[in-house]
Amino acid sequence: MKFKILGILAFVLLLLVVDIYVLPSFISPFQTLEEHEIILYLYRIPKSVTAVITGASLAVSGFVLQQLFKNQLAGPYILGVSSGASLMVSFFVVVLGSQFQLLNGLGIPFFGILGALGVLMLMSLISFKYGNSYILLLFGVIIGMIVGALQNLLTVLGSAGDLKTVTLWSMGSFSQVLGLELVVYGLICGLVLVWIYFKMPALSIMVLGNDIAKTMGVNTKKVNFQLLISTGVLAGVSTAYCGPIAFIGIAIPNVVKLLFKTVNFKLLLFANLCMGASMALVGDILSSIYIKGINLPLNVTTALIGGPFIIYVLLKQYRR
Amino acid sequence: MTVHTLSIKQLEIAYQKTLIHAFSAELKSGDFVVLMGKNGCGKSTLLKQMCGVLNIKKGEIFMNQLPVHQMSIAEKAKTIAFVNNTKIEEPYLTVEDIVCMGRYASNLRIEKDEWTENAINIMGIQAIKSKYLSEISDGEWQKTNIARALAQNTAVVLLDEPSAFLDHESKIALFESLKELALKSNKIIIVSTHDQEIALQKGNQFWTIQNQTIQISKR
Repeated sequence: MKFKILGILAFVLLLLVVDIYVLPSFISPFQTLEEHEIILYLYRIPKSVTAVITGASLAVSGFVLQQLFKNQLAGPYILGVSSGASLMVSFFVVVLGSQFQLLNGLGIPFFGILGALGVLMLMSLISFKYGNSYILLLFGVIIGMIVGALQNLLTVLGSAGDLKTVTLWSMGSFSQVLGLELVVYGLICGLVLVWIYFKMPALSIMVLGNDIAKTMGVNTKKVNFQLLISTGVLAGVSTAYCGPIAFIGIAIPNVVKLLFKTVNFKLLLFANLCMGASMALVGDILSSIYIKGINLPLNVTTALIGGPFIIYVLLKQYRR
Repeated sequence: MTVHTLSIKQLEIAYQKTLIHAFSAELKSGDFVVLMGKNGCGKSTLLKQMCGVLNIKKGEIFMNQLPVHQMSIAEKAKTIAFVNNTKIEEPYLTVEDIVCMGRYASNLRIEKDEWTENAINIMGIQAIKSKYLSEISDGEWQKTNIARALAQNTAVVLLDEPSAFLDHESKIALFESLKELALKSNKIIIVSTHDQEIALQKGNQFWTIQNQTIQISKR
């Protein structure tokens, strides 16, 4: 077990080094050319840090949602949470953005969280009434579509500039978060992740069912609510800053489960954090390589890595 | 050993509709109560109301004169433990993991300590403690559950039809170990069951629900 933990930690560090210094072009950490320093400090390091924060947040958010909804295919993207965040961010950019230029730094994450929480509340209501089976995932997908349609409507109503901003943003990117925004982003996600860490024992007891967990001292309603808000904040903020990124939230918790075979939730949380960051870094590395003069959008690379894996999980799990 | 007392006063047993209007009883450490009656007569409801899964609308329950019905979820979990027979489908959960979860009420942690070791020893499940749930029998699953309740270190343990999925031998072994727990570990144990013949030999108090009343008989 210790070997595996050190392994994934080494893996994420290695990817981080590759992402910062090696690809798309090699920059030695020991030379001090001014252009290189500018590329490193203003572009590559913030981009990699953003990738780590986003990957970790999405994976943890997916992990917690899968536990809360007791459905291993749940995740911020498939439940429509990312779409909710997208819609509210587009709304902010298109309708309010021009009037509140100064607030952009805080407005975008705030509206992202608002949208994510809105959809999450709706999903927990549906799960309460209809259970946690596939109907929940269907609802999630359909809500995602409706919200997507509303978002399209918004962008059509907006200016050509808005359309471009929103379209590019919806393909996902780690390179838009710089300076103060990155600090705010890191702080919000860091605090929420620490908060979630302390809820792990309670969440793991809820594996035994909410009734039994309650008799074992877990205030299930409160923990449910707190964790829903936490995952909403993580998914909302990361979507707001980096666009709706598919597959990290659904794939990584399943990879971790297969890899660690345990219900030590503190360990699983840490593993999700590292593996989520790794997947985001791999996605970023792949999309930083030029292919015929263009970069692959981030959402293309994460989907190409994560999609086949989820199909594998489905085939393995539900074979008759 | 300290003697704990549990008193139920004028409790209305109700889930959606009222099943029993007012039930009162007094118990003390070492009592092993067998709760019997037809399906849907209120056995589970009574147990679930006592441990806080279901709310109490009318009536009171006191543990050593302290009102259980007014306790917080955390305090209640340190007073009354509850075991049912629902199976858990979580492939990577081990026997020891579950027993350790019993410690949450006491210290908000789920790590092994002398209490979990002790509980595992009492229930005789040392040999299977690192097995996954998918690898153990129904009888071992029930022992694991009871060990978890013991790790919770409560004066009262409630069990809702723990023998439902067991074979005859395991049923006898289960009731024997519950009897021992009541006497040696000084606990109040209430168990609902349909296995009357076995239960009647092991219990020292019998609550029979019939025609919306509970009849109490003692050995």
